[in-house]
Amino acid sequence: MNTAFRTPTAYEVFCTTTYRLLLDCLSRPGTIVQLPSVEFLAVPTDLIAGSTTNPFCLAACMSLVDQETSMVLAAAGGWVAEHHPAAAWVHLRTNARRSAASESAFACLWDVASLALLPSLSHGSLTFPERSATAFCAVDVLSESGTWELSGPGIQTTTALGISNVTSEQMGYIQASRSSFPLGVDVFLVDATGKCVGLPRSTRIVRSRTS
Amino acid sequence: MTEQHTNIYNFGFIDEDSKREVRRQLLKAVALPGHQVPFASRDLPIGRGWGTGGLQITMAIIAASDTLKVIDQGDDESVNAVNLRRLLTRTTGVSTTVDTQAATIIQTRHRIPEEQMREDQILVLQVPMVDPLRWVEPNLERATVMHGEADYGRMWVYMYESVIKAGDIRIATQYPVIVAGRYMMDTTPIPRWDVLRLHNADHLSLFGAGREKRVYAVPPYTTVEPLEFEDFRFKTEYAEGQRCHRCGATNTFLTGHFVKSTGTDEPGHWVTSCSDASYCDKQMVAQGWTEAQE
Repeated sequence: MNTAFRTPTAYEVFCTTTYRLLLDCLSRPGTIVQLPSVEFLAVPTDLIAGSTTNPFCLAACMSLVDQETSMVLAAAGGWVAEHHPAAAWVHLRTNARRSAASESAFACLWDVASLALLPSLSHGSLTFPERSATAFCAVDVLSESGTWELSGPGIQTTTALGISNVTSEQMGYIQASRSSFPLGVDVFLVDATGKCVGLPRSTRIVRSRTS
Repeated sequence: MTEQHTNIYNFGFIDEDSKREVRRQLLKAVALPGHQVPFASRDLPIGRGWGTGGLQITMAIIAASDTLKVIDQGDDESVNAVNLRRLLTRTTGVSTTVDTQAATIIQTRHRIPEEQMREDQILVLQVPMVDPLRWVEPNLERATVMHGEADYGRMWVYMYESVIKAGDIRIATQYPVIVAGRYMMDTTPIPRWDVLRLHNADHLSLFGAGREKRVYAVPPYTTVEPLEFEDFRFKTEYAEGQRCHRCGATNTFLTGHFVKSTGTDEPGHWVTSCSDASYCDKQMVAQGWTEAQE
């Protein structure tokens, strides 16, 4: 068979590989996938002073955005200003628009403290629930056993999820983001080693009875 | 094809921004099982209405490492399947297969393969009509509001009236279902035979309608309940004593075709065979058949 395509660039391959993993883990909430290496992006560790950057989390979020979408960043429980060097760094590489948090399609949260900002993201409307935000949040360590019990579409019965550094209060913000389905925010959690879990708004999260 | 034309297209034909747009809408579709998510639906060298929705989903998700299977009415060799497969292989170079078990992505028109699909496989369905409410509410804006409010009363009335007028539920294909207890979804022109095979499936199903510019999804392990009444149950096309005339299978979806008279004595007659052609061949091979015999 004659083929007629150019070889995809490293970034295009990265975006496709990442997307299949994100699609897989959003379809099967609680299933932990390993995101590919992001060394080629050379994400500076001190992009936001005083906060450690999780390059896997930032790159996964960036892989979905372009000039048609908006993306907002948050660290230490506050939104990062539009003209902050970190926002400029992301804009330069993705062309994503910088808009107010309530109008952003994507949010990249540097830490679990920033989960407190989830309520200010767009949750969509009943007629257009898809006009809602997707949040990527960096966490310390994810495991397939632990405090939280997930159920809903994509899960056979229930599944366990452990997040090493999230408090009940912080988890409460994620739980609240799905209290009025079909409105809500879809969340991806990415740990320091690039392990990722998807929590679509259809997933119910409760504290497991055994822990 | 001349040398300078060997690299004129992007990998997967559509450009990266178009792929990203489909990808973003598919994530929403997965998070909202059964909800129709609008997408841009780009122009393709195939007319809208000929599988361009499914095609754009496949183009947006496919990677060089994938193994692709494309079927039309269950058949790998039908004209729609052959053309879409050719476009996809020309622009991605991926390997293709007719074996359901060997594929990572299966793009299909009108059927779900007979063989049980696994967790690591993705089914992409080409959708002609997206909205199950179209029969009762042709206005798209009003139907969108009805979906938003889960206001499905008129559809139940339609079902009831079909029982009153015809004596049974008068829906052949496009059978309406409720997904994950919330959204009413059209099951595309898959036969009723396949409808329950979407229920709590191991695989992810992605639906794309290029002409109507919508995508939707049924994640794995998600409830898919056909609309039915206690006294008028959902029924598949199964007929007592049905049998494929080639492989002898009694548990597959069958299609009929006419065999012309070969001589003066033997009249022409109808026969039924498996609609999933590669599954039928597999059964035949297991019975010691080789292609040369037919």
